[in-house]
Amino acid sequence: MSAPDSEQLAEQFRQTDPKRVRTDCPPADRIWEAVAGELSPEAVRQIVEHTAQCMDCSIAWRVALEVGRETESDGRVASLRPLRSRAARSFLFPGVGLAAAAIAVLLLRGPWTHPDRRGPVEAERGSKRSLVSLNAPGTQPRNAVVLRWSPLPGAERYSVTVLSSSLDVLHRAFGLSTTEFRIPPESLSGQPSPARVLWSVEATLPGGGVIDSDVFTVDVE
Amino acid sequence: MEWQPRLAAAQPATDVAPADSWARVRNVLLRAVAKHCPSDLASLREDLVQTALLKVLERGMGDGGGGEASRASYLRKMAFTVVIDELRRKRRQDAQRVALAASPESQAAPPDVGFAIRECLERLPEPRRMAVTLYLQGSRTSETARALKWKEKRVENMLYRGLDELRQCLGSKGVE
Repeated sequence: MSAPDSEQLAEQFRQTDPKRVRTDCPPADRIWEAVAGELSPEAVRQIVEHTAQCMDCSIAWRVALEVGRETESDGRVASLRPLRSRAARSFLFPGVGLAAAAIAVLLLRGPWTHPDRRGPVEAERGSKRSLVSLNAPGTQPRNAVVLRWSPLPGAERYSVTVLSSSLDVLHRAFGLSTTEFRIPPESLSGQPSPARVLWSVEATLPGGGVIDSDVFTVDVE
Repeated sequence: MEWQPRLAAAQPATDVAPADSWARVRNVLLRAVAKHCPSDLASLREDLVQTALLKVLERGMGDGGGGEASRASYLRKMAFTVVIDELRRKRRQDAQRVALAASPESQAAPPDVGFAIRECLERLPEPRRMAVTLYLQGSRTSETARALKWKEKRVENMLYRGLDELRQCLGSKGVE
């Protein structure tokens, strides 16, 4: 009689039992920190012991692992982007710009770095944001939604990202030289009426540095 | 779900991450939940992740932990936390339903292989138990080393010995 191989063991170990639910679980953020190596060995030990007996926390551990790996993967791809600085790529702090593959470029941006290893570009991100919305309060007509923002001294160009309230990317515009942008009506065609969309703007500086705005909202008829 | 953003239309959100970060985190979480959750929960991943991110947005990003951690990293952590809370809540609801519907016979069902693995794990010396548990959770050697603050060589040693003991234990229980 042979014992299961490692893969089989892992698979059987991970199978969930819907009747076994515990109520003494560590907070999810503690699991995150344990996976990231941010807790003391004793704290990690307690959490690992718990995850061995708790289906939900076992799932949480694996999801945290997966998110961390995706983040690291982003960091590797992002090193292909010349405008972004390269920095630390430690777990959960990718430290570099995101994207290189075409699809990723459409969706991703932004070098994120470990705070201890921020380069000049990242330092700009941490400074007081200067890009603010100049849109007036109120609802805009669907066929003429214009986004306006404050100019950033020295900025060479701007990029705008528009998201739905469900966080799907509706439109992206690159290389803008003005500080306003009209959302193409067709980008909003799938949105309910009325709708609220999110948007942000990114300014590119002469040295390749990038400054992001925060997220703004705009109501659409 | 009622959508109540904490921001007025023309007011800048001074404490949230860039829009792309949200889209990115959403996609990463969707994939992770789909991969690791039971099928019934995985099928709800869109709703789970969506609900979680909206909660994060409503709650605000704070200063990202003293203003030092990057916003995107902080967003990932917050989003993960809320997703897991949602998963736990859903699982508990399901467990209550299962418990109510279960017959005494089904509740007394014999333990499965997963149960035997857990029993055997408990018998391992602690360092080996740590290494094997994390291995079974899907951690790579480097990830286990990072979490436990061990050298990778030690992880490999503990894992090798621990798996061997685990198999012996399972064999003694008749687990194939």
